[in-house]
Amino acid sequence: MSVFNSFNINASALTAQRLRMDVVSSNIANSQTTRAVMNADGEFEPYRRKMVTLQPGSNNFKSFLSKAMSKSETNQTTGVRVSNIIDDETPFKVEYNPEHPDANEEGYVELPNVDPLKEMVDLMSATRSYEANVTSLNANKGMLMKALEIGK
Amino acid sequence: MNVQGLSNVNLQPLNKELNKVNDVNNKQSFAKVLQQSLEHINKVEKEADMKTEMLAAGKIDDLHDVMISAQKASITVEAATQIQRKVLDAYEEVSRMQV
Repeated sequence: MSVFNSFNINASALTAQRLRMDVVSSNIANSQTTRAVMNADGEFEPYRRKMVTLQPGSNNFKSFLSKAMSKSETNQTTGVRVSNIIDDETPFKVEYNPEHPDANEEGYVELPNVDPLKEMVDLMSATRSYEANVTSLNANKGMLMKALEIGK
Repeated sequence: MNVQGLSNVNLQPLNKELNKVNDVNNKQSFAKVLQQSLEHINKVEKEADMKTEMLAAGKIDDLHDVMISAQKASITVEAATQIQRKVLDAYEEVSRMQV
């Protein structure tokens, strides 16, 4: 554990929030995509909204090893990492549009289950978290620089 | 008036202390410590330089990684200069000492 431990923790959070941003961008970009994947019947399915799940960065081999060697008390602070990106299983939006190439026999089109409002909220949340982590990082830097001023 | 020589002063403890100081010097000399820390600073600086180069070449995804590496390097160098300043201060203090 070095003086830069807090930097590394914040860096992991910044990376995670950037990935959240990427996922939100992907959701918004694909909000009209009707041909994302082909299902077992050979028919196209619309894009499914993606969501990011986060977990503490401690769930890795190194931390389990140090826990087994009973050194865990010394270092309880960890970063964050993305555990996986999951699909939103809510039903697709259905719209009556017989002219659409992907409309079914009744004239209905299945559209992605992407809600622009939710995406905007996620976008703001990711941006604010990113900013918060940058602020925390700068505060840490400020502390270190102040410490270097001791006895000046 | 009868002035006597300092014949019975026991220098044994002083010599012992001197030996101890010499032992410490042999184990980890100041020059060695200085060199080690300078090597560390060099490593951190090189890492920051490498990341900046990779960013310019478009080989890096995370801008914040580059910035954080640069900040780490800057703090390390700042700490080194502070320590260098303190060492020089101490040297000057000793050199000004009245004998």
